[in-house]
This record gives sequence, structure tokens and C-alpha cells, in this order.
Amino acid sequence: MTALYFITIITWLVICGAVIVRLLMKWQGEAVFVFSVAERGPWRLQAKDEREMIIAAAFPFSNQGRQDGTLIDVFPRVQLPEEQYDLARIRARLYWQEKSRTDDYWECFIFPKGFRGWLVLEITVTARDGTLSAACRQLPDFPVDIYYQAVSRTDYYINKVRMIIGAGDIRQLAAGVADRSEKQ
Amino acid sequence: MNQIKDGIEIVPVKTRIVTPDDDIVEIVAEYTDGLVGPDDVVAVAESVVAISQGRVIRPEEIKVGMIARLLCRLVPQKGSMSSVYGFQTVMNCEGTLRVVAAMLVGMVTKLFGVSGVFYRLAGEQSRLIDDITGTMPPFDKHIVLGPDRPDDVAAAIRQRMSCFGAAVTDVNDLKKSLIVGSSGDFDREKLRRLFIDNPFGNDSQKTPVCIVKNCAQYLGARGKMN
Repeated sequence: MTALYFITIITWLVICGAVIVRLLMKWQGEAVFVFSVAERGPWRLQAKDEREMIIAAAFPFSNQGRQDGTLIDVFPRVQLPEEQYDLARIRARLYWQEKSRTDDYWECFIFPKGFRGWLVLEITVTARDGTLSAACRQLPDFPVDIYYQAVSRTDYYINKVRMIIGAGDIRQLAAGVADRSEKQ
Repeated sequence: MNQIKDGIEIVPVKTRIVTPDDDIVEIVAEYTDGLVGPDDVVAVAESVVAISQGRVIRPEEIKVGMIARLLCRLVPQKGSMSSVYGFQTVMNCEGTLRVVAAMLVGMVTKLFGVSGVFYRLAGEQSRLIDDITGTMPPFDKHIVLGPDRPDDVAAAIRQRMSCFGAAVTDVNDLKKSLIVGSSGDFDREKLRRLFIDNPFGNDSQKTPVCIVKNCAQYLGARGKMN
């Protein structure tokens, strides 16, 4: 009788504890990172010569969750296979505008809840043969996937967002004409 | 840049990146060659000592249990144990039962207005662990534990440099400093206060070693002796 009584009490305590912690987790929430690629700014020419050009554009990102969150890693991948287009080699890198760097490393940062900042996507277009403008003449629109590894109060996760790069923008910049949106 | 604190000159020393393949005593000897005198104390950042000891772990390598998932929620966000990985790592080092018991006792004592009990009871790693982002790149993507046998490390540095003393320190920009390990007959509290303004600088300055110049008289002949 006594043993059963204690087992019942302990079971109820465990159940109540679990419910309380679950409610706490629900109330605390998580970090929610949002990469607003649709709000990308104009492409800007960083460097250019006969064979190669570097362009960059910024887009906003934010932590819209209820907890601080850490971006452990963020990197872009160009989804233009050479089997489909081999006139130019296209590479991308990405950095946080406030901590610009010259390498491909992403330094971990904690972004507090409510944070809003800008990421810069940099694209390097290199002609494999001939001039840059010739290499870009038949370039199609192509996607760049931006992968990010994030962690907050739960296990880390890896997600990605997609930005479509307009071939028209690339061709204009390769031909020496400024991005229309940049002029405005 | 050298700092003067209480009339004592502190010289930060730049080093190359320290990795788990390095011997921290050799690193200190290499980069402080000709700079250390017999009345100086050599201090090394605890995270760098821990890295040289291979006490780093990637979150991807940590198997997180239900207890860590639940209890990390009770740690304030700024703490290194507020993530599931930080909490699980401390439980792996100090024992699940000890950490859970410390959490329960800490919660009860906090109800009576006594804080910090959890960290006192949960073991040294709960105080020394650095969660992701807590250490300089490329170890910013790792969890860095506190150093192993910091007193022995300090003793080895002191012997190698033939200096007045050596210390392994945990210093940050929030005006907090801690002497994790030391060797030499000096007042640890006085040394701790010298590091309040974080002479090691930020990560990008890459100065994990500091020489406290001609401080033997200032630090006095008190404290622990190794």
C-alpha cells in the first residue's frame, strides 16, 4: 500500500515536471532565421577585367524567433553545372556585411532575437575562353542555394534558401552597363 | 599594445594559430623568446591551453539526450550551458547525476535568493566550458572544454621560462577574470585583478599569451605554491 502510494506520487511528479518543461519550451520558443532573398538590393560591380568580373548584392536576414540564435555556418552554392554551361566559370561566396572578410570562412555569431542585418552575396564570373562579354552572351538565369547551419535551444539544423540570378543583370554588367536598379 | 595596470606593464604576445597538435609550453617558449625576465609572470588563455590539449568537440559529434534537451531550457540564454550541446557536454564530463542534482539544488536555492549554486555544484566544466562562438575561429564552431591540469601546465611554463610565475587564465570583455591554474609564490587575487580589462584582447588580435612584467614585488610572496 505504502509502496504503491509512493510510486503513484513519483509518477505524478514526473508527469507534472514533464508537462511544465514542455510548456516552458513552448513559451520560450526558438530562434527563427529568415533570409529575405526576394529583397535583394542591386548588383554592384566590385572588379572587372577582360576575362573576369566580381559583382555583389546585399539582402536582409533576421532572427524573427523568441530566442537568440547562432549561425554556425552559411555558404552559397552555384547551381549551374558545367555540362549545361561551360563558357564561364561562376563561383559565389557570402559574408555578413558588418563583418566583411576576404576569405570564404563564416565566423559563428549569436544573433539576438529581433536582430536584422544584411548578408552580401558575391559572384565571380570568369570566362573559360575568350572575353567575358562573349562568355556571358548565352548565359541562362541560374539559382544559387544559400545553406545555413543554425542552432538555438534545440538541436542544430541545416536549411537552405534559393536566390535566382538573372542572366540579364550579369550580361549588362559584363558588357559594362550598370545594373538598371543601381542607377535608380 | 602594452597595458599599464596598477603601475604594472602587461605585454600581449601574438602567436600563430594554436591547434590540438601543439604543445602549449613550446608555443609560449617560441613566441616569448627573449621577452620574459625572472620577475615576470607569463599568463596563457585557458581556451588556448584546452585547444592544445585537444579538449574541443564539434556539436555534430555530440549525442544529445532528453535530460540535456529539457534542462538546458532552465539556463539563461547567455550561458554556455543554454544550448543542448553545452549542457550535454558538461553532463558527459561531470556526470549526469551530479549536474541534475546541482540543477535541482540550484533551483531551490534560487527561490531563496541565492544564485550561482548550480555552477558551484555542477563541477568545474560548468564554469569553464565555452559553447559554440565562445572561442576564436576556427574553434568558434566547436565546444571548448576547460583545460586539463591547469596547475601542471602553469608549472611547466614557469619552469621552461625560468620566470617568477605562470598562470592559466579565463578572461573576458565583461570585466570577469579567473585564475584557472597557477604556479609560483604570488597573490592570485592580485594577478586576477590585473586581468580585469582583458589584456588578451579580442580573437582577431591573436594574443593568447600575456607577460606581466616585473611584477614579483607587486604580487608579493603569498598564495599557492606549486
